[in-house]
Amino acid sequence: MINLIQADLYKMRKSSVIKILFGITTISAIVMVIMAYFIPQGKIGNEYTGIGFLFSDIDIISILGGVLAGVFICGDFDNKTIHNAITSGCSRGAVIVSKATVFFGGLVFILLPYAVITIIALSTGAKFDMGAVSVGFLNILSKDSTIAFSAAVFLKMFAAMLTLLIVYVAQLSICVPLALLLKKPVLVVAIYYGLSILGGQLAGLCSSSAVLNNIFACTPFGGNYSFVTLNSGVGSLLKAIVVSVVFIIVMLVITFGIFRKAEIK
Amino acid sequence: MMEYVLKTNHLTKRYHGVNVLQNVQVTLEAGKIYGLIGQNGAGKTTLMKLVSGLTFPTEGNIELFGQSGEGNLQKERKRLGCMIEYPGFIPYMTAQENLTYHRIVRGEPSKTIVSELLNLVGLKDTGKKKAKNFSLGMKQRLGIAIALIGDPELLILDEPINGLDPIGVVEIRKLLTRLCEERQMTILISSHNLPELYQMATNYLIIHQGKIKQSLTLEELEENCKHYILIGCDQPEKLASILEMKLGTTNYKVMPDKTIKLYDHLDDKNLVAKVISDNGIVVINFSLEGDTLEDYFISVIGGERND
Repeated sequence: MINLIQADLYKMRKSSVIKILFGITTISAIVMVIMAYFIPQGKIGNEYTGIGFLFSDIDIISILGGVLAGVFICGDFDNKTIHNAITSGCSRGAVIVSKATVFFGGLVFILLPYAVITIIALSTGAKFDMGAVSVGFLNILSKDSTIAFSAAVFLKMFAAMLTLLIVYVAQLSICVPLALLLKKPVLVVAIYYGLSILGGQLAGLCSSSAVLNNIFACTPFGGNYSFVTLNSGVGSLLKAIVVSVVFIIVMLVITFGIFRKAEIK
Repeated sequence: MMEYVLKTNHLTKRYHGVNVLQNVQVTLEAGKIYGLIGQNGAGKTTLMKLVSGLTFPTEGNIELFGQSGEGNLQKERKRLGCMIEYPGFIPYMTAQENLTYHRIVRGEPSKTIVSELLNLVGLKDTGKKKAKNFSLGMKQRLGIAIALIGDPELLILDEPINGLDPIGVVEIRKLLTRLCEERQMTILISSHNLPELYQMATNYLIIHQGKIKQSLTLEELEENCKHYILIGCDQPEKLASILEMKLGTTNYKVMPDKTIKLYDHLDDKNLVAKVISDNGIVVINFSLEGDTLEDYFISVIGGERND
């Protein structure tokens, strides 16, 4: 399995797709921060928060995460690297775990610009706000701007951002079974984006239904896990991490169930 | 004791109630090149996929290097090299990078194997050219090189000479023959190019509609494809002695139906006919017989010759 992970990391390193995706998230993160900076100053109208949201991490990763899964998991069926791994004696479980590990690593890599640029923006002490559309890193930026930096604050920020990365990875872990089942990048991107929108809508309904809220809190899409800030308590962060890790495991088990005896054409 | 690399027992594969492979019993011995001959849809690729673990049998089982059971087979597959249907490679990588990727997958520590294999398949001068820009023949060579990583004991190649130019075909043939001879590698190779297969394979498996119709050695195939004069007459014993006395040949066979197959004097039928006639033997049948490899294949699968 370690061999498969090393090989896939080598492949990812040689790919221009990961570099392009990294470039897109870097530019989007910069645009997001600039808009979040100018909106509270009134230089950009509040009506543009919707456009600002399009550049936010939650929106961008919902699309690019699917693209990443499509390229690096579905693509492995086209170039037969999955076939070659199995015919050379690798177990299907090892293939799933290695593909998922490298995919998750890729997600963290393309999300890094949001983390870094958010830290840089917060360190300026300036006011940032994108209003009600703020989720994820944009939420940290909106809620925690003007905070005085210290070692403790930095530690909290690191914990919150790490939690957020794990939540995003958990949300996108749905793409692993989708990619291995559908084998078509376009379908993976479209279905995951649809699911993320549906998740957003259901999250809105959670306030009116305790049952729905409890069910949804068992997934990384609910429980306000995407709204962690520097003020989130250790318990909240831990709960978000545990739910996310369990969700990832469930997704991998489902994937194994699908892929264990699947015909590889 | 005979060393079997692969053995299938009553192997059956069914898709939607249709038998794609039916009760297949195949045994491959070490150090031989097996030509898998069959029409499109005969079950060649399905058999290869079953052996390589890309799909699972509906019934029956597979033994690889004497081991069976899914866990054991998975371990033994580390001794396989495969190229099934079309060569798999990462299009945005060079040949060297592709081989490096697969070297890492296989946990092959030797880095020099990459350049050795590139050299072996004639791709050492491809430099920074991406695999997606390769010609079909170069892609085939790359696929073969990938299959050879880890020095496999059983090499499974599905139509490996597709798209190769005549020189490439000869090179790949020589390469496979050398691998078989020098490394005792067993090779299972499917091809539609029967004359080419004939120059390479030591054994043949003829598959048709999911069933193994015949399994035979090169010698048996040559025997079956040999040209001869078929003579039917009223006195076969006398004819045999005349062939020896008058024509000076013992290269003939008396068949169970008392016909005689004469393998000499194929270009001198007039002489044969005259000698037989001069010795008062009544000839019932006198014809030139024998198959080409294609004819023989068609006759085995029950094609036009048997109709």
